[in-house]
Amino acid sequence: MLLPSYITNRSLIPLFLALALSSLFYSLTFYLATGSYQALTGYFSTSKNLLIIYDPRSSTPFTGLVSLDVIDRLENITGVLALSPEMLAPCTVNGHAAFARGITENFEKVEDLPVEPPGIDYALAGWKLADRLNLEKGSIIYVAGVLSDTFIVLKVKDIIETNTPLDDEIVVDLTVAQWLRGTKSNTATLVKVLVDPERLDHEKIREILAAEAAEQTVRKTGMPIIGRPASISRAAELIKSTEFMERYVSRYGFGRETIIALSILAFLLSSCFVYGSADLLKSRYMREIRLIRALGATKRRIYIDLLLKTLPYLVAASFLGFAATPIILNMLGCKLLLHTITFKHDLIVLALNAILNFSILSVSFRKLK
Amino acid sequence: MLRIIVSQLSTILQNSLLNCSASRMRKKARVSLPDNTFLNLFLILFREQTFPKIIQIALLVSLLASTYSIIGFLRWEISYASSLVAEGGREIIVEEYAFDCGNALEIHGGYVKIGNTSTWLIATDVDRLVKAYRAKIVKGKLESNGSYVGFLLSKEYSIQPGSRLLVKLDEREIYLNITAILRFNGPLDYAIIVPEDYSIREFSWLEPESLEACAPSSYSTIKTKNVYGFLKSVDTELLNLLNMWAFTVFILIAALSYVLTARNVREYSFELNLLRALGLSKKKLTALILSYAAVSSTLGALAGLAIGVTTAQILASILKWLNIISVLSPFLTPVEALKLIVLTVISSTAGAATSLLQLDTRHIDQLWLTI
Repeated sequence: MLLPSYITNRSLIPLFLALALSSLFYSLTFYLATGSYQALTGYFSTSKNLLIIYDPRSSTPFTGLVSLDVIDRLENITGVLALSPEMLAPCTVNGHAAFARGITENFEKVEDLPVEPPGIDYALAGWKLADRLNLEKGSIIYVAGVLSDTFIVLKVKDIIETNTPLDDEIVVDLTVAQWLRGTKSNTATLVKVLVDPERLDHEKIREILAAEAAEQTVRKTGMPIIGRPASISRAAELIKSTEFMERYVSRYGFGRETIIALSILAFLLSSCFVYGSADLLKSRYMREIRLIRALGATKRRIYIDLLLKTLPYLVAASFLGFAATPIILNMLGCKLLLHTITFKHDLIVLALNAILNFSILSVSFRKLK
Repeated sequence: MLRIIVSQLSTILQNSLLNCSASRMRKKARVSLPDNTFLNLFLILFREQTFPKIIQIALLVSLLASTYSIIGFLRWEISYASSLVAEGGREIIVEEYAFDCGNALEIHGGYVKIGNTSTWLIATDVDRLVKAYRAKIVKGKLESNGSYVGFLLSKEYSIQPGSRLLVKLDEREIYLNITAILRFNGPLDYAIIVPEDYSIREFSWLEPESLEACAPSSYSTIKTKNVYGFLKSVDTELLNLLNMWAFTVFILIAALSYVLTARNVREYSFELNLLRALGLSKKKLTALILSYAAVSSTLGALAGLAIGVTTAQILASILKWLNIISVLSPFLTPVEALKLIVLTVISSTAGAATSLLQLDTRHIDQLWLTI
């Protein structure tokens, strides 16, 4: 049973604010870190049956180039269902930085999205980009290449909403993206391969990629390969789509472990504040606590009473951090690499917040015992 | 009777003398101890509660400092990368921002239909276009009033010099006499090019040889190969994200300062009462507590910067040893370091001021109202 109300609700406000702020800070750190990680790793589709052929020499996922000469050979391999080359071209649309994604007819098969190449003089604008640049169906856009001296005028064929990174890009024909990137017509940033995993012959694909690399070297140097000369072209590599972006992201030290470490650090730092507030509350009511003690209440009972009295505030504060943070962040429209980060409610945040804050309060009030 | 009067007068005189000496003493005390700001500050600064306060602020600032130093390195890499790419692009004035530029190559265009597909019809000074874009004449030759097709379009529709091409422009149908096939190695390879007397203006742009000669004082153009501008946008987004997070840390510092000041006032009540009794005014006492918050937060910020940057450096070394990241050299620019210190001091002082305000209005049994 609770002891008589010797703590006024008003005096609990600073503790509630401390808990709420700590919860907001912890949630913000967690959501920002996980949101950024998910945005980066989900930049390319993460379908289970999708493999990606990419250029392992590139230091970013946007700058690699693979030869499309292999496509014809790969099409006949057992287990390969469809191949979709994609070219990502950094560009400016009406003077604003954006990405243009060049696709072919196979994009629809591989990604299971109703997006078709718009034609050579058209572009599909993602709804978020369209919103930012005030574009609508039929608008004329001026697109300038960032890596090439290319300028092109395109008409917006449609505004698309896919709930994928395409919402922040313009989708164009592969040829247009190649112009904007300033590369040859037989290259792409990557090739997506839709496979039947049970029937797929991985080794055969690797052999073809290695053979293509060797051929490229001969084409470049004009010399047959003896041993492994330094100038040999490195074979494009095959990787699961789920691992593709993780590989690049972890190269910069940003992995799941970093998120956990950052969140723990954020919690520990904000916990000092919660501890201080709980201590302040306790010291403010020390006279009343002593009086209740003198009237016969045990230390244990007072300790439990304090915890129970602060529990509703703790739950409310934790819920505030859990619920409000994604809403605030989504409203602010945070962006990373020109793509909007979407923040989703995560029950782990609520649970961890409540448990961790409760343990801090328990430790802080424990001095009574 | 006279005796009584004399004794009363002497009492009054004694009292007035005593009062006079007491007020003189208080005045003297006011001049000596309470006016010595440093001494007063030291009185409350060198207490056991100050060190945890400095450490708590330092830890929060260290989190910011380490993050800013890592991001600082990434931002430096971005600007370095953009400096490596030769700019050398073109500046194009699109119709929206058009201004009179005598030496500009004017290009007007629109969408036309050939069969079921649409493509660009470009109306311009063909000779200048060929020179500006270094186009190759694949077949045929340039003729006055001739029409031309891009290389890829000619391939797709098997168009040859001498062909008559029917194009639909809005509601009009026009026959064009193709006299040459041009290769641009770019988007114009899919275009039909006609002399500038064709009136078509769904879009248009100007390509000036030099903007300096004709540009007004402020103008807007679209640049090609604008690597710096592109990376700057990416960089700004990254910084916005970080600043938003940093903002919550500063709120946390302010709130922390609020709690710690409230606690300190309670714990230092003896010292503060003593100073008040010695004649320190309420204003000066408030200033003293705020100075205490400012000094402790400055020390906390400095310690935080040191801890943060060192931690980031150690982290970078570990990542290098583990071969996770080969090059990472976190650093903090002096401007950013100063910004962190100033913002920490401001937020901490603001928190302390709020705490004093609360103390003054709500908890009337506290400090100076009891004195």
